[in-house]
Amino acid sequence: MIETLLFLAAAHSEVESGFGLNLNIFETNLINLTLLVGILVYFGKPVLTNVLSERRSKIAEQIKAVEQKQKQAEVTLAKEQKKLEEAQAIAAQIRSDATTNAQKARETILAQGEKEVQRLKEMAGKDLSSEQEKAIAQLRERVVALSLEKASSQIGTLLNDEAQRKLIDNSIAKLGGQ
Amino acid sequence: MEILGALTFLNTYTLAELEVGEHFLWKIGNFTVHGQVFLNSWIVIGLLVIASLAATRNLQKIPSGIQNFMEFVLEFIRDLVRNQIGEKEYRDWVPFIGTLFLFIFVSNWSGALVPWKLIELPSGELAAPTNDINTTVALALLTSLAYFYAGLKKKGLSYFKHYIEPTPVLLPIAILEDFTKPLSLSFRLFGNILADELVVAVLVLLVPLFIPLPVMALGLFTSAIQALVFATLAGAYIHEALEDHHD
Repeated sequence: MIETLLFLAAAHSEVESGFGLNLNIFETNLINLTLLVGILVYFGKPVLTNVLSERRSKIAEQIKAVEQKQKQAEVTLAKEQKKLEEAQAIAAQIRSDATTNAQKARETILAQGEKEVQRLKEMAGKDLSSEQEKAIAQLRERVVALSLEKASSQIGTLLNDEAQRKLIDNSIAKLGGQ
Repeated sequence: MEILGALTFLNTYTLAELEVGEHFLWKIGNFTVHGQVFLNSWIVIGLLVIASLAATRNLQKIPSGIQNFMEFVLEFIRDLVRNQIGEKEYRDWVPFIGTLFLFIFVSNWSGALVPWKLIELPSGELAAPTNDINTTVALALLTSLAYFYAGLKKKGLSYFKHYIEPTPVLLPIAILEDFTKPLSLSFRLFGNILADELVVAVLVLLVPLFIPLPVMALGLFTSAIQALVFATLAGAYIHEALEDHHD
């Protein structure tokens, strides 16, 4: 083996002495190498192309599937957004309805309250005046009674015969004595 | 092996020497480098860069052509790394392990498929970069650095605790492992690729036509497997460094 190596090395160092081309077909093993490359390409290429095209189609398929999914998701998103908008519109509607209702209710309640207040006030005023009248009438009665009493008591003491006569005289004098 | 020597002791002391065949030597400063490896590495790197740029230049939602192919490759690498490192931390390591895998794979296949011998060099010959041990050692040392970095970054200095766990008796073996990992990585790759190319070369020398074909086809298979093995092991080592020993 080592002798062969030495022989090979010696053969080479004899032949070569600078850059150049060695066109000896046998020495360069050109035929065998060409054949080998040919065989490799012949058997390897279909396998490789097969594998690569499979890979390519698989990737394309996956991308397609993913894109479809994306599209679907977009559609769903749009749908859901539409729903959301609708729901928001409904919510706004409900809210505005509620505010108007509330306003209305407030107004009616206020009006009612005012009416009630008015009524109460009126009633109070009526009560007050009737009460006043009653009180005045009572007072009057009482004053009359008191004065009557006083008068009758005074009449007892003051009106004796003398005085009565004087009074009558006076009255007569007033009537015809001028 | 000069580069390895320089890496270890600044060229004052050569750790190991290993030479196979003739080389097209370049002198860069104090270093002597194997020019044919550089040329081929550049070609491989250029190929990968061009493929990546072409794949990402016009990105489509539904991938086609080279974008589809490169995405397929990336998916393969990502699965590989995830299987090794695990769901939680694999993401950070996809670029590193992916680069390792792609570089090794394209290198190996370029060595097995391209008639490099058409181009004559002053000495040596163009072949897969991975059939030179300097390349594989560089890749293996990068892997070592990577798993040390992974462990230290995650656990800090307590990363070194794993040397004495579960028992300090295993300390020598644990230390030895740090040396055997890059060694086995680099030698496995180098040996497989070089052996493959040598077998093909010898067969071609003996029977120029058709007979070497099955061996060449086998070589293609081996090359692919070796790239996979290297990437998988790199992932496994990084996972080992990241793993918690406490639970």
